[in-house]
Amino acid sequence: MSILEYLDYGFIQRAIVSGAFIAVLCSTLGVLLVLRRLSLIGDGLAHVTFGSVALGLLFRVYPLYISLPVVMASSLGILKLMERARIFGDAAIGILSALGIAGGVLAASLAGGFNVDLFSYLFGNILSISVQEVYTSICLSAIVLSVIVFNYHDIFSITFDEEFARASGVNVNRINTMIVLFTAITVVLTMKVVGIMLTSALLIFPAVTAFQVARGFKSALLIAAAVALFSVISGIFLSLLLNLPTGASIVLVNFLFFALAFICKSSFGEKKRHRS
Amino acid sequence: MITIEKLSYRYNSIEVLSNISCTIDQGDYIGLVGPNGSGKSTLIKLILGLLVPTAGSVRLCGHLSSEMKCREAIGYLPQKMSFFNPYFPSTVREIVALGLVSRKKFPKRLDVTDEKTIDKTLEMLNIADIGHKMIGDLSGGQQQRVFIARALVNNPELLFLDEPTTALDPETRENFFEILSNLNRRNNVTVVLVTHDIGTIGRYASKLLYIDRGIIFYGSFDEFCLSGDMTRFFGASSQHLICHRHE
Repeated sequence: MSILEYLDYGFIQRAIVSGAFIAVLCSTLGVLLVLRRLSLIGDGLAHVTFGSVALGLLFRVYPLYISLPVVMASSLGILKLMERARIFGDAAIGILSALGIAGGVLAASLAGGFNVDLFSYLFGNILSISVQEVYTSICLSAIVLSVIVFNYHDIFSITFDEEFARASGVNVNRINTMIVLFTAITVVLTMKVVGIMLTSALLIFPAVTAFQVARGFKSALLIAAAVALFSVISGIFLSLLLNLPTGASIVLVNFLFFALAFICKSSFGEKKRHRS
Repeated sequence: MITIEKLSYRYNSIEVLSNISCTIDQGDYIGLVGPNGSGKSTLIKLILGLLVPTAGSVRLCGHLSSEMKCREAIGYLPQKMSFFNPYFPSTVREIVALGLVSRKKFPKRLDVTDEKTIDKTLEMLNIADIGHKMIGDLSGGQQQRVFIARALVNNPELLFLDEPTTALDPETRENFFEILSNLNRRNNVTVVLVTHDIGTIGRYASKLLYIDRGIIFYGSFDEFCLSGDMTRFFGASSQHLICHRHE
């Protein structure tokens, strides 16, 4: 079957559309999080998502309805821990992450052990995304991206130098709260694409790939979005053509892009040194 | 313009500043000096509302500093950023443009006039030719000039500069002090400049504010040199060295 013929299938169309929106969202937030040294917040919140999904399955409630509020509350918890307990982001993330995993394991054991449903959330299954989930992904992604675009200069200012931004009158607390809540929403949406285990890859890889070649902050955001978009779409088709797990394929394509960008940067740097 | 009343600040049970009271008027050029750990940077942060006082108050443009008012009138150069990421993917122009954010209302878009303002500021600091370069590719001195440009680009009425001449070569330093003097004399810009170098700042500033957790001296450089209290505090030979320093 050719690639174009695959596009006739509804489940592939849904996967590509929702995957595209989530990819751009992940890459945009990923640039901000990596630069603020909060790269592993995706991992931490993904572990909380695991706990909330297990709870949802235990009580036979659609996991998204539990995950979204629980993960958003946890993201605010990370922020408060950093402010009040005076610990760095990595430790705060570690605390919530451990709680999330422990909660999930407890819930799973109460439910009689891990089952197929829980595994699909762990490793993602974008090819089984429903129409409702597509609309949810599009709406949430569009809202989050719009807010980021409208607050671009404030977000850029805080990401580069939070103290200067605060002195300039930027409402740093509001923006920081917004970013962690958006991260929570993104992590929950991403679990369907690549699964809880690989969520942080979608946040980190496009950003670090962009940093190898970008010549400015705006261009870093655009390159990250392009890399993420291409990785998701080509990952989906690769998994179909070679009968591979989709989530893992997407992450591996992401890694290939990073490797390519790194090699290009190193070779270009080498040539520049020889010329001078 | 800035009114400080019985200001104290404590951090982790250490008293960093104690009972400071003074006024800074519009058009003043203040050299804020003192030894390491005397609270100079802390005082700047309290004035800007970045820290909350343990006691006392700071009023900026008639409002409490915690209210974060009149930010569009302020230019700020923090002390060399300890958490500065040299790999941050940003050009010089993008960083200098951040200095214009305070003047903008939502949704904060830069226009052609802003781009021209950025061009002018880059030229003033002799960094127009590196506007497209990434901040991480610059030398320490060039980076410092970029941060100075960010502080000056929005034509501030109040300038707070924390050790601005760090990493600057002598020629650039002189050019920088010339720019500040012109802004202060011609545009009546109020300048508060933190430095260790009393001798140099004494040539430019209208007043010296010497602190060491509290105010040790506040007055003109000439008054500082003639002050018996300062002779006792520094010792005659140190005072002579400061007051008669030749470059």
